[in-house]
Amino acid sequence: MKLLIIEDEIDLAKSIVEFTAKENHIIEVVYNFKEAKEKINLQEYDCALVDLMLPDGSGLNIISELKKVQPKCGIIVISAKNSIDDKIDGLNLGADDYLTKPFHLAELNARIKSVIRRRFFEGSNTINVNEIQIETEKREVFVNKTKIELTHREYDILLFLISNSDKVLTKESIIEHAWGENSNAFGNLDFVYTHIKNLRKKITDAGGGDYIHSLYGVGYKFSLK
Amino acid sequence: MKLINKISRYYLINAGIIFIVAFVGIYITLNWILTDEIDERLKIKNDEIIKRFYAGEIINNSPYVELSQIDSVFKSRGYITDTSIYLKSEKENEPFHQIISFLAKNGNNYKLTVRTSLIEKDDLFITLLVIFSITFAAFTLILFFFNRKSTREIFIPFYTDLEKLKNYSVKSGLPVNLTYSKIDEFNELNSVLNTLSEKAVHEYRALKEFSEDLSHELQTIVSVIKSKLELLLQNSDLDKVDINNLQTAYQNLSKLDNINRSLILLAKLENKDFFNSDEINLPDVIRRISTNFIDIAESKRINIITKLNSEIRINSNLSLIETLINNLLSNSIKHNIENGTVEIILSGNSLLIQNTGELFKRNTNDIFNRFSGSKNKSDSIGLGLAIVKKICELYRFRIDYKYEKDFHKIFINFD
Repeated sequence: MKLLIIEDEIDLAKSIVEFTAKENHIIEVVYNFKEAKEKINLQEYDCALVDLMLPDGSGLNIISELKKVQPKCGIIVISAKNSIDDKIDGLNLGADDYLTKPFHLAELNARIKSVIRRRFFEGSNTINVNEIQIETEKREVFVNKTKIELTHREYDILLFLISNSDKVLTKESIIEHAWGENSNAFGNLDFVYTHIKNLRKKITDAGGGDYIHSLYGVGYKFSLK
Repeated sequence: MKLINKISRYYLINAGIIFIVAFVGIYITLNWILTDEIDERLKIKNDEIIKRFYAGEIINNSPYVELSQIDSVFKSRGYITDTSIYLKSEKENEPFHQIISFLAKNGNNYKLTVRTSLIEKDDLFITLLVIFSITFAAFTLILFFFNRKSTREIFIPFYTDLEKLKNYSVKSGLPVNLTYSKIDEFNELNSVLNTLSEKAVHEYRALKEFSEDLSHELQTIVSVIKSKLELLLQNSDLDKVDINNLQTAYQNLSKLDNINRSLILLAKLENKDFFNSDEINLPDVIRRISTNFIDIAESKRINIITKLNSEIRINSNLSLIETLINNLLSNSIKHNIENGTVEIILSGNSLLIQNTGELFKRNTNDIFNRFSGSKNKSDSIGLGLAIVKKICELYRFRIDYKYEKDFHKIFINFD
């Protein structure tokens, strides 16, 4: 897949590139409005990350331009402003998703995959990882072709882990993904352990491998190794 | 004491002193002139009567002229003395001036007393007193009416301005704009205050912009640090100590992020920025958010009881209402006890969120103030309730806090 990152904060753009390096994307980065405009009129992209606040212009204009010249390209807005400011604006203009800074790289990675799945694999939204199969459209999970019953949260956690396989995901990022943006107010985050434990048990009980590893209480990793 | 009354009091005291001094001075002068006049007349009268006596006329008109024959001869003194004589007509002793002369005629000795009444002097005193009293009373009365009138004309603009100043807030973004007065002192004060408020507004705006810019700048910085920490965490060479250090850094960064987000929201609420409004089904929002808390509550063995007996809809910003409910619930779980409960009761137009918990040591009025959160809970940043209060203020919801029978109770009325 071909990604375009439009982000004036160079260090942040580099982090995104580094984090998504193993996903086999072709990534191009531009740091301002002018370059972004040139790029989107020159080349085709599958997904674009657009920072709304660029030094020389508003990302909102880039979104409307993208919708015109490349209607197939998925758009994820990344902005320092939050939902109360301009989430509506970005989404109204046709962005697929919206992330507020500071975000978890894992969350961004999962969102990119989700946007690409929705845009390019319509009808066959299936993720296969060894014996595990996820039907993202119906939110169903099969292990060795047998359906396992997961709770809403367990499903979200599993999909999040698999979208970021071989990456250490912090408890914070997992909770924010499954419980929502405001969950950072929870304080104690250890309750996520119970959900991970149940999830692992349901998969192994159905004959699946134990792929979810804990990392010294910091977070979890889904790895086939 | 009001300025006008203070000034009037000084006027009256000074006027009183001047009146008394003038009264005494005038009285003494007039008295002296009058006595002199009376004595002059007495002497003339005396001389006349002596002449008439020698001419053979016998005059006796008590008490004004008394003539009596006496045995021995005295030398005539011929000067004026004071005396007082009982007058039947006045039924009291009255003051007189008299001249006593000793006369000899045809070998007989006589004593002649000529008197004149001083009643006129009494009259003088009374007349003067009456005139002065009336003048002073008139002066006081005029001052009183003058004050009333001047209070109305001079001080009403002053009081209007005072009221404006009392209600003034730099947050309005406008200078205080006091009315022009014809009085130089007030005008000068007003122009100083106008300039002062313009300066304050300017400074406030600059500070506001600065803190907003700073917060957004911080968010970008936090984003970069957060992403770098996440990348570091992916390094498989890290040992347990490294990872724990990373985790501590990461957790504290999250706290910084939370504080920063809260401050941005608070600033927005304080600036009364425009927020989009929708019709919100409150019980739906409460139901949705309270499900988010079930897991964390269970992990602390806290029971969440929800009684939503109202279908109330409110017109407001969804994100703000979500934040409101979220902060209240997270608060009720944070400050709870093991095996405690949280009750969410929605009925009619009001919401009650109550939870078991120990009584706060701090003043209960402070709970909605920023950073007044109990210091012993390291997770708490103390801004949650300040935000709740600001949201309530924005939409004019009434919010109250009470501690009753081991329960912290927060009431919100959505009228």
